[in-house]
Amino acid sequence: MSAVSVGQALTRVDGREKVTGQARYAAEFELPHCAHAVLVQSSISRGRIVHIDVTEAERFPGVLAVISYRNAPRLPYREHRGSVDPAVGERLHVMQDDVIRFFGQFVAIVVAETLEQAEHAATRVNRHICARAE
Amino acid sequence: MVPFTYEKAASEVQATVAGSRGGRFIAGGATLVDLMREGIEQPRWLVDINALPLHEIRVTPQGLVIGALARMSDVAAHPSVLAEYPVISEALLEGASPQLRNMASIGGNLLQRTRCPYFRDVGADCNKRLPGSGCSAIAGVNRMHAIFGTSSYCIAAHPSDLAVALVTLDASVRVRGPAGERMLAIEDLYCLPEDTPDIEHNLLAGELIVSVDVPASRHARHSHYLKVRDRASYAFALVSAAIALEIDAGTIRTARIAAGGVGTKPWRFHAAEATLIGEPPSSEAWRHAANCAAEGARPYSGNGFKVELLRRTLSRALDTTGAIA
Repeated sequence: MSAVSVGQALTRVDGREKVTGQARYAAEFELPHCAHAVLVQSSISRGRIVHIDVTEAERFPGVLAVISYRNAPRLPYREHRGSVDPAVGERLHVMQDDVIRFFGQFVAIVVAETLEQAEHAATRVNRHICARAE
Repeated sequence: MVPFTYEKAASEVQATVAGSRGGRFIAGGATLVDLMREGIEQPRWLVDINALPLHEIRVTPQGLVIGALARMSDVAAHPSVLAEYPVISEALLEGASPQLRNMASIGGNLLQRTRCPYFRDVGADCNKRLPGSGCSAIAGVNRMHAIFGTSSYCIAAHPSDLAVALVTLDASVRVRGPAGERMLAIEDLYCLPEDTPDIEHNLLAGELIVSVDVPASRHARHSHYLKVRDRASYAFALVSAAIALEIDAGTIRTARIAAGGVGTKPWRFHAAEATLIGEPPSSEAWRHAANCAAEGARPYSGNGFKVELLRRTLSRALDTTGAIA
């Protein structure tokens, strides 16, 4: 980045498209045979998942899978070690245990043939999560 | 979002009949679509009213008639509104964003729902969304909440800037429904939360706002809106002020003072207005009126700053309006 462009009012290549609603975002590209995933988030900030019942969501038309810590593959996370400060803390290991660490943490993924099916099925998972705040 | 039926009303009769049977009106959708996607509102039947001939902005010597489907941006830019009712134009332009103002209707603006984060979070207790569940804001984060008109059931502030401007101009809404047509003063359109915060307005089932009627007046010409908020755009008011003054031969003949961001509905300050009548305009007069307005405010843990901010916002807005009156 040169010093000449810093602080200058430059025209954004995609500016006009974005402010006129013409810009197409990633989710708006239709690809053949593309499944869609919608994330279900925790509504408590700290605690444990006691129960997730996905049977209603799984039966919904178009749903291919509902993933939670109960059936997610074990991912090869290694312990995080910051080079500057070793006490920086562990990053989130997604879907690997029943612990809720923050409001909005992803607790399930609904995969379906269309976005609308995935969104609706996600609301059906939401109804059937029981979590205990700690 | 729960599945719903979508119907385009071809006539007002079709709309009001559908409304009286449980259909929800949708115009610009700037409030309703958000609430539907968040699961706050779950209408089963949407009635699109955009094709109804209610977009006109009509100016007569008696006053202004703003069609309920006129867009915020069109009303704000109308030359007669700018010249004869500037507080309306200013209030509209200080709300939302340019894109939203091009979509959002006047009727929808008046009926928009509160920004309280607990109302808008299905995981939180909220008497407005779910009667009887409690109010999370009273003991929670309440920086944006009201200091007038609150109850132990709800302290959410009313979000519309336009409504605040309209209460200073003695505006009314013209409403039509299965039982016919009636007029409601803006001040009577809205309800205090009391013990039923889920009931926000006095429209009956199936009633449609068809226009906002504003009487012409000298004080309407000398009016102003001042909005104080965290950002210069796309943010709701911490405190806002709508002022209209008629000053004749160095004496205040008419004063209208209302504020947004502080009331559970647009809040008019009749006692403060009375302190100004018959007085010459001055900094002392403005400050006295502003102090009077702030009396009786009931702050909560996070919004005590609004009391002094209200005094200062009203003083400044009165000063600005006094200079143009």
